[in-house]
Amino acid sequence: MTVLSLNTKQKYGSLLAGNAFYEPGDFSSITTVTVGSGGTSSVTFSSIPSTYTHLQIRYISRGLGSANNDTYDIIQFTFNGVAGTSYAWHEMAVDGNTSGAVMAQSGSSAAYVRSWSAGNLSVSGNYGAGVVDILDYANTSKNKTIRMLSGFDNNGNLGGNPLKYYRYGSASANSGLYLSTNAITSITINGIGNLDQYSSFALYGITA
Amino acid sequence: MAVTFYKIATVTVGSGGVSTIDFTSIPSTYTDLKLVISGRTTNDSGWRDYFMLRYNASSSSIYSRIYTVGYDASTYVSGSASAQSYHTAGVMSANDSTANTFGNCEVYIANYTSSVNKVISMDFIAENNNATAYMLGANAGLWASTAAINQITLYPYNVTPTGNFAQYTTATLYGISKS
Repeated sequence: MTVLSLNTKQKYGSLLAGNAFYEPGDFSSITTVTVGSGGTSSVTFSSIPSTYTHLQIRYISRGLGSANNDTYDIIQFTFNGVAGTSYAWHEMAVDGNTSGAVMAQSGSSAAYVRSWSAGNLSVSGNYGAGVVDILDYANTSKNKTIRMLSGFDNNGNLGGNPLKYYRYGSASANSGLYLSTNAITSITINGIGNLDQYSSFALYGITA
Repeated sequence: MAVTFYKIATVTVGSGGVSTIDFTSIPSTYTDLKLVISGRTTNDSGWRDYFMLRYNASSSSIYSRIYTVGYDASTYVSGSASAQSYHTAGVMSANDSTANTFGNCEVYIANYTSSVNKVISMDFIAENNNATAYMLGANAGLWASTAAINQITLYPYNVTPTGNFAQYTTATLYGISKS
């Protein structure tokens, strides 16, 4: 069979007509948000297509909170604009100072699921990082469960007087539950305060 | 940019459940394997259930792991297990977990065709709408075999097996290639 290019009028023996072979793969970037100058109060991924099977968020982040706990930031995820009591979360974290892990959990009616990043008093220029996996996000037979790994490092002991919380940094495994069988179409991400400039959140779609 | 992430196969469990999930004839053309599981079993196992893995259908006592786990009322444990005939890969939701809720688990097998022993990372969560009923954690696993992995079998609770993987459980095997 001969294929005629509409652009060049050249004849080819392949349907590729001189174009490179394209294979899309099963891991695709949906969108990325990088926070600009001055920071932002939240980042939202909206109109998430239902054409993938799983979602993954990869981020670096630093908070601008000004409270006593501003040596770290809590990254808070909510879905479909639902606030209130539709979530549960649990956490296993190490703080780089004590052996063993620090366990924490929500009640049964939390307002978000959470992971960690660096805070306003973390070492200047340092950001936390995290990977968030949301499986079967569009499956209407399932509540949505979220698996997260995150952390930040302060390049040694941040010290302070009084000693700062998580002054070495932290590594954390978190689990989350969004009590809804609705497909997830939007994800909103908040910190304790604003998210600092250069914080970046990338949303990926994974096909099964 | 080269594409390096491919789905190899997906299993979605139908009505009635299944006792095992088996990925066979895994091609040797990738570098690493990644297994993603959204799972639930039919056992009443205290709000969560374990699941096991075997490679190449091997029941030899060449599986070992180091684990760190948090569960229930802020309990934290770590430890190791060796000379086992399977990997206790993690936990998923059980029949008595919060309704419609499934565990969220990942198994990563690096260099699965290499001629050295195989190292495997596993991380997992089993959530409930309950402050003190959950489990999450991670394993570093070793399969002391130099054979290329061409089969992965999942079992609920133990390798007998006990119970089934419940309807709507999904398991997807991905191949990851170096560029």
